[in-house]
Parts: sequence; structure tokens; C-alpha cells
Amino acid sequence: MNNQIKKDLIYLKLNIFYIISNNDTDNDIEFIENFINKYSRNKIKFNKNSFLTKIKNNPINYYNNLLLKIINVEIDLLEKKDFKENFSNLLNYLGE
Amino acid sequence: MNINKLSVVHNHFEKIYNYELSLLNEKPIEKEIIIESKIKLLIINFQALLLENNKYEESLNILIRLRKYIKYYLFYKNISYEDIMKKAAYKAYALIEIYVEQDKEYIDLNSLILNLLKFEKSILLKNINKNEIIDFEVLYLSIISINIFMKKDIEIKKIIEDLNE
Repeated sequence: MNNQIKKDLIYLKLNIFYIISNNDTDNDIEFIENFINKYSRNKIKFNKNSFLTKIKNNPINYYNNLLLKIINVEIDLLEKKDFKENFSNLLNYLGE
Repeated sequence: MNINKLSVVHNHFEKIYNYELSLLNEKPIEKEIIIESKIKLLIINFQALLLENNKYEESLNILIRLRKYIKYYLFYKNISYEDIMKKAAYKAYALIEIYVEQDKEYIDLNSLILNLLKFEKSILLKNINKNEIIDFEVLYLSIISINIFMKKDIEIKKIIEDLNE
């Protein structure tokens, strides 16, 4: 399970990067939606238009803040700590 | 490759050309952002390559480049040894050194990634909400994204020369 989360976090970073650098495709957006649905168990709703507006308006701030939240979860996982709080922060940030 | 992608490529190469011209008037802050952007992307790419099998040569190449950029923080930046950034940088640098120059079997990849991520985190914390660097980083990220997209490595020669001095 944790290995799958690690992989998904890396793909999430790559997908966000492709989106801010305008090389994105619908598949990249779909990955993010699936990520939120999967890990929030459909409790957090993904608003595609709101997400794209935020990321296109202020891409680096959004990217860096998101990257920081992803890295916090990755570090927790590698140090075998409880990652729930940081993971919850990440999901809420993506779904805001 | 479809037409839309080709159009993106064309636009990015124009940006690269204009950017390389602007390097003639490069400022220190921009050099630092370039290095930090490179570090961030190299770490993501290293992690992504590890997800794939039989990518040892590529991952080694990325680590060699990461070592070069981390060196900037260890030898050219005025940060104290107690600084968390320097500690993470030293650990990551040492692990890369062993991995690249000696035997990768000695290295716990999780430990290497952990220290790279801690170093990246300290860079992010240093820069977050610094609006003055944003426009430049957007441009630079666009440029290096195309390197990945085209599977080419377009080196910014001036910076490499500076680092190799």
C-alpha cells in the first residue's frame, strides 16, 4: 500500500509539472482527479475548472506549495512515520 | 508527434533562444533559481526512473548532474554547517558520491531519496511566496520541461562553466 502511495506521489508531481509547463493532456488532469477520488474515498470533490484557474494564474506558487505538501508525505513515508495529517493536508489543498 | 505538440515545441524553442540571449545579462538571483529548478526536476526524474526497470544508466546520469548542482550549495553558498539545508545537502552529496564512484550496492536508495527530498524541502521553504522570482522560474521551467519532452539535454553552457571553475 505504502509503495503504491509513493509511486502515485511521484506521478502526481510529474503530472502537475506537465500541467504548469503547458505540456499537459486530458490524461494528466484525469490522473489528479483519480488521485483525489482514490485517496479521499470520494469525500473530496475535484473541481477541474477551479483547479486549472488556480494553477494557470499562479503556477509557481501553486507548484511549490503543492510540491512541499507532497514532499512532506514522502518524507513521512520514508521515515516510516504517521503520514495521515500531511496526506490530508495534500488532498485538501488539491481539492480546495 | 501530433500538430499540437509540435506547436508547443516550437514555442518552447523560441523561449529557449530568447532566454539564452538574456543569459548574457545574467543576474546572481537568476543563476540560483536555475540551479534550484534543475535540482527539483532532476529529483523528480530520478524518482520516476527508479519506478522503471533497466534504467540504471539514466538514473546514474541524473545523479551525476545532481551532484554538480548540490556542489553549488556546499562550496559557493554562504550557509552555516548547522543549517538544515547544508546538512541535507552534505548527506545527499556523500551518498551520491558513493553511489556514483564506488558501489551502488552500498547505498540504501531510500536514504538517498530521503536526503534529496529534505534538501529540496529546504529550498522550497526558503523560496516560498517570494514573488519576485516567479516570472523567471515560470520561464525557466518551461524551458527545461521541453528538454524532458524532447528527451534532449540542452545545457545552459554558461552556468556549467561557472560550476566547473
